[in-house]
Amino acid sequence: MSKLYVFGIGGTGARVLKSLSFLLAAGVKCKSSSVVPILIDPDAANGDVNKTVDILQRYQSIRSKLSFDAETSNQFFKTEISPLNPNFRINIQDSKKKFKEFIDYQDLDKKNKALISLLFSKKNLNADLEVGFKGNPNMGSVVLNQFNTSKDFEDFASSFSQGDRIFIISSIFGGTGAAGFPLLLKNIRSASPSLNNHSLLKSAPIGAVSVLPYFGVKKDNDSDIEKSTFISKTKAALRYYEYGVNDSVNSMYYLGDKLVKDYDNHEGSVAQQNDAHFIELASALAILDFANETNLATNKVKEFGVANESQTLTFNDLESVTKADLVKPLSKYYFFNLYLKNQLSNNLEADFAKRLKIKEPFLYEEFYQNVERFNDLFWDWLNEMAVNQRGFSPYSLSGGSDIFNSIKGYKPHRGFFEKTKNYERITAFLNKKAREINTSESTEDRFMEVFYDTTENLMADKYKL
Amino acid sequence: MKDLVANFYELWGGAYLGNFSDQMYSNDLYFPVALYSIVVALVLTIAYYYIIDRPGTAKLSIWALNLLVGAILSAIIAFVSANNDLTEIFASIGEQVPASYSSDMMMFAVVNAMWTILLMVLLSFVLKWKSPNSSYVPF
Repeated sequence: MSKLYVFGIGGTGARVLKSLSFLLAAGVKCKSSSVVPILIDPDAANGDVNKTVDILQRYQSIRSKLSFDAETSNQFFKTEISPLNPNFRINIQDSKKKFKEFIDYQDLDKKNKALISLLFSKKNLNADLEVGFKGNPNMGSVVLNQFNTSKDFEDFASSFSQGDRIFIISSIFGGTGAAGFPLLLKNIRSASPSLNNHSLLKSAPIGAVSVLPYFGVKKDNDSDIEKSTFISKTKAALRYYEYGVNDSVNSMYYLGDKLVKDYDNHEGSVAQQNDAHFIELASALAILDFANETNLATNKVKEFGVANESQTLTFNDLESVTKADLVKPLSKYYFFNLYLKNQLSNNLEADFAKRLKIKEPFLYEEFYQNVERFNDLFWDWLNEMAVNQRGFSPYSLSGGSDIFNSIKGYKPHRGFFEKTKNYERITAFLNKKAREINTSESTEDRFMEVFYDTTENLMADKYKL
Repeated sequence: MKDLVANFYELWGGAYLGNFSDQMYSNDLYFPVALYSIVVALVLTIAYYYIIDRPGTAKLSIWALNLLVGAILSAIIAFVSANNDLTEIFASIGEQVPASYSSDMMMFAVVNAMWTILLMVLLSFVLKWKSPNSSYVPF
């Protein structure tokens, strides 16, 4: 029962964890039996972070109703997501102060004040920490340096055991992630002897993804965040990582893209809700690559590439390994989502629904409501990635006369004697699979198992996958 | 057997139609109609559960429509069979089928349709279990 602790630092960390949740829900292979997401962001109201917390909580709630053993074929929601605390976040102490209050600027002597004014601008000193570090890692490195003494960090150390792994997600061009990653790494690698399992932490397998600039922000004179600084900050940080970071992690992943879209310039808080991006999906794949890696004896630095550099990627633009990892599980979940959204409530009289004892009240139970909401967020995620730059649009989400034509680049096979098409074909598969299901399982288990097996059949029948 | 089949069509006296029923019984005309109707009921029920069967047809309304088709077919079989056979029998003695037999033949067709519906319902309960998509139809 190995756990993978995933630290998501800042807005990018949260968005990558969102992508990871959808990949795990779809059943993309993950050798760790449990993932423990830990969000680090002083911006308590950050829209991206709160959205991710909502997704993680729904995933956890859905997963808690499912059971898995050697007989279970279902891989949807197989990997457990376990929280370190209910809101999946490490609380940053004193994050509601101004930066100068945090460092007790008023009480410093003249010499130290002079030193501080060399390192931090007036804007930095007067910055409100509640909305994060607004692209200033020099502030972040001071504030975040205290989380190794927090109760959440102690809880993390106490729960860490032999065989567990750690992964850290951060962006290199912002404030929170750029500052938090080296600090967190330092705090783990030189864990205080007062922490439980400190020796395990020191030698723990650690992977990390550092995301290079993959989006810009629109010019806003009132905002402290300035796109033109992204590259210079990245260069400076990379120089530091080369000597101060790369050797301390077992697997270091670097991801970036030269094609960037400018988002609206929000310094943080509720308004910071960037659209999902393919880079975040690729970062989530880096986490799974690390979780599935068997040889961690030698330090590795990895990069990610695609086969065709098109403006909007589809499955066929990905390299074969990535494609093989993604196309089947994501497409299975895509059809699962489509059926639930458009058909299930109209098919409660169908054979499979009767056999599984799925009646209308089931659709109003907490489990199904969570699945429905989770799937809505999955759909939003696909839509956002499709319209972003660089886009990832493997499905024609607008619908069409034949749902099986919706995987771009994949022509569905049509049998000569096939008498059902579209959703009716899925219902026919559901009816068939429901007959084989173990009736001693709970309704939730049977529901998920039947949909998983059905979509598996569908992939073989329609796409020879 | 002859008496049993006759009892079914005459509803143990409840639908005894005088001369018409006597003619049907004495010329053994009930049996072929019963046989054809059983075959119709069997073929339509098997077709519903195993040949035309698909999720879209697994509905009470489609199942009921199938019964209606069975009822109409068996009514036609009963009417046409009785009419043809009785016309032949009366022609052999140089007579025409009495005009009053028309309404009797209609009644006979209705009784045959009713038995076909009942038989299709019973066959549904026996055959539905292994149907890929309709094992819960009618319930």
